[in-house]
Amino acid sequence: MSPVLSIALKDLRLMLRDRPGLLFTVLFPLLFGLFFGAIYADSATGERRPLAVALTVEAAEDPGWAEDFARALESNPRLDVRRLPDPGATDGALRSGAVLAELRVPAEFGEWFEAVGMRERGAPVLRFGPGALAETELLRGLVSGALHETLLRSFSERDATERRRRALLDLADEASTPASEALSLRGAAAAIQSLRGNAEGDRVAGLAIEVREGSLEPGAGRPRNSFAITFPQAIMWAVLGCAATFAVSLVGERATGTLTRLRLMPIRSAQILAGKGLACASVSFCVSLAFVGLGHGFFGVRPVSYPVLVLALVVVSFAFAGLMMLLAVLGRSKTSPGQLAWGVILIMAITGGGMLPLFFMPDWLVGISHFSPVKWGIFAIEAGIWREATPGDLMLSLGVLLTIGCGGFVVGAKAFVLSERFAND
Amino acid sequence: MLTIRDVHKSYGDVQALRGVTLECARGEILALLGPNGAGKSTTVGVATGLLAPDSGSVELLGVGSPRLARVRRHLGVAPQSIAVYEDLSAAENLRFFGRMYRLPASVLRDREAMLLDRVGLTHRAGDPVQHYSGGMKRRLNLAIALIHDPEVVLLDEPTAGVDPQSRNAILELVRELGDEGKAVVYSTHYMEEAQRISDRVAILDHGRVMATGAVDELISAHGGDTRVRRDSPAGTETVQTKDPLPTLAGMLAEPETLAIHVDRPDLEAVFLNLTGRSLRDT
Repeated sequence: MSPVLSIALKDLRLMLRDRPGLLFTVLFPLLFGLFFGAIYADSATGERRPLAVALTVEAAEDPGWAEDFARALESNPRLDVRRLPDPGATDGALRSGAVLAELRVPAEFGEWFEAVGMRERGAPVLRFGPGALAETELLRGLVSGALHETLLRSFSERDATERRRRALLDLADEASTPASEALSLRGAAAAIQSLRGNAEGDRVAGLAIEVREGSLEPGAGRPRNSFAITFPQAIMWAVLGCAATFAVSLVGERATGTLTRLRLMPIRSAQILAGKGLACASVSFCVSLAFVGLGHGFFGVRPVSYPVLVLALVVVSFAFAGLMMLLAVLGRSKTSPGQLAWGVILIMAITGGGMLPLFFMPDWLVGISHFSPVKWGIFAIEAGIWREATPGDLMLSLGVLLTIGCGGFVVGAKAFVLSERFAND
Repeated sequence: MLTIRDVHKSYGDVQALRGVTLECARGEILALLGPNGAGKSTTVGVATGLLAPDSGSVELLGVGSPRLARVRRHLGVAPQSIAVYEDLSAAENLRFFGRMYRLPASVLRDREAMLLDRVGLTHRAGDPVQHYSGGMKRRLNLAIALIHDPEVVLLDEPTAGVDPQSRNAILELVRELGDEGKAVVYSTHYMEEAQRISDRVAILDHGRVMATGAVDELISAHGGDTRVRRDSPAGTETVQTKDPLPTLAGMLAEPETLAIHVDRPDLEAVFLNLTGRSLRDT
């Protein structure tokens, strides 16, 4: 058996017997992935918990339009509309956070609606509770959307359109209406009349205003769920943990004298480092595969391409094993390589999206992330899990990682040979 | 087998070795005797190739310097620190280091069993080394140095910190290695060990070889006279002589002799006469 393989197997055996280290390398990244996956469950796929809104519809002679509007609100899955049994309890519900906002539909809403909002009184009123901070604009949009939906639908009903036309004319005839405004109202009434021109039956052709959704080709992938986002991060943390563990193990060998013993063997110093690098890469790859299996089996993480994912895991494992070799030989004291390794790893993780996904970060930090191998590692893994990256994007990330791995091996091996040459001199 | 020729080695301003010249032949046990800081470990470091000398040369088996990987194949070293993997068992340690020498599996298996038996660790071969006593770890440390059956063996204070039973076992094993025809260099600051097992002793002090030779030769040349003391009611009479037997006979014939003490010179006396200091005082 080659010395490199023997050293790798020895390190694997030692790692398996280091229970606390194993927990940190395997369990911590897994908990990281599961914890943040649960937290981001709503944000990842755009699905949010419905926003709770209290709806108060004041009694009116003809509640038709108010009820139409209420039905439009209630049919929106992003709203949790509650008609509180005691309207007087609304303030309490707002203050306690039971509801985010209150929408009050006045008794004059019907007249206001038929006048296309031209009347002073009757507009719906939205009140926000103290807990609604980020949701205010979203609520405004959803309520306005329901209002416009109701309005558009109303134009497709003959009787409603006629009533609207009459309402506008009545408003224009009122003594309090200024002459210029009366002119506009009569013009609007005439426009509604022309919309009725092609009517068949009781319904006219409505205004069809649609927002269509397009798709991005290629790369149309979206994460299936939040765990599809956090598992690549968890895998990355497992790889980082392995790298740090093996970097520190070299320090341990130096301290116990086994490194000296290895240097007395008929093998080269570079072979010692290569053996440790092989062990590191092997563990990284195996733990990563285990995470993929766990994600697939229990958390709905379905890779879009297994070949791409396996390739990504191989390259990521290689890259960070190479990085480990460089970190392991830096520093001369017993503790500094370990501290240095973790310091570098944490910076790479924070700037590369290992803590929070990059899409949560400000632009300047996204710019910095290009220099972090963690960013490229996560991208490569995501490419196999959900991202459906283009071949060009994938090759770029793999190329960067391979360069880091090779550079780490070469520079680390040279530095190791030099450091051992001077270790005892 | 091992030739160290006029080696100088400095650590900054400190001259650790000043022109050390030593030879160790096949089947010979050469003890490096000296106090702490004498240069024993540095000599071992240079001899193993871990340290590069500032000047001078080291040659192994007439093949080359131990700084070459292919030459180190013939060298077995037990370092002063116990260099074993404590999370592995004795058997696993031996197997791993044996693989570094690319020993065939069957050969490795046989040597592993033989060495475990020889150092008395067969009954604990499967236990993690962290559960061993200091003496057991030292014996394993030595066994690892022998896994590949080297021709030259360097032992750097192999009995440091061990119990008397383990020390005895190690010294017996070292003697056997010499009998098997290996060249053994044994570094120690225990005079008793050097006297007990070595064929020749090299006395080091402040990086220099003060004297080299068989124990009897060194004592005869540098140990001084034998002291014979006679205790009587009148007091103590001391005679220093190179030939104690006639003096002893004369003292025994004296009346009212209470006791007679004979202090033969030893390596301690040799060191004292050569350096002006006691081996134990440094």
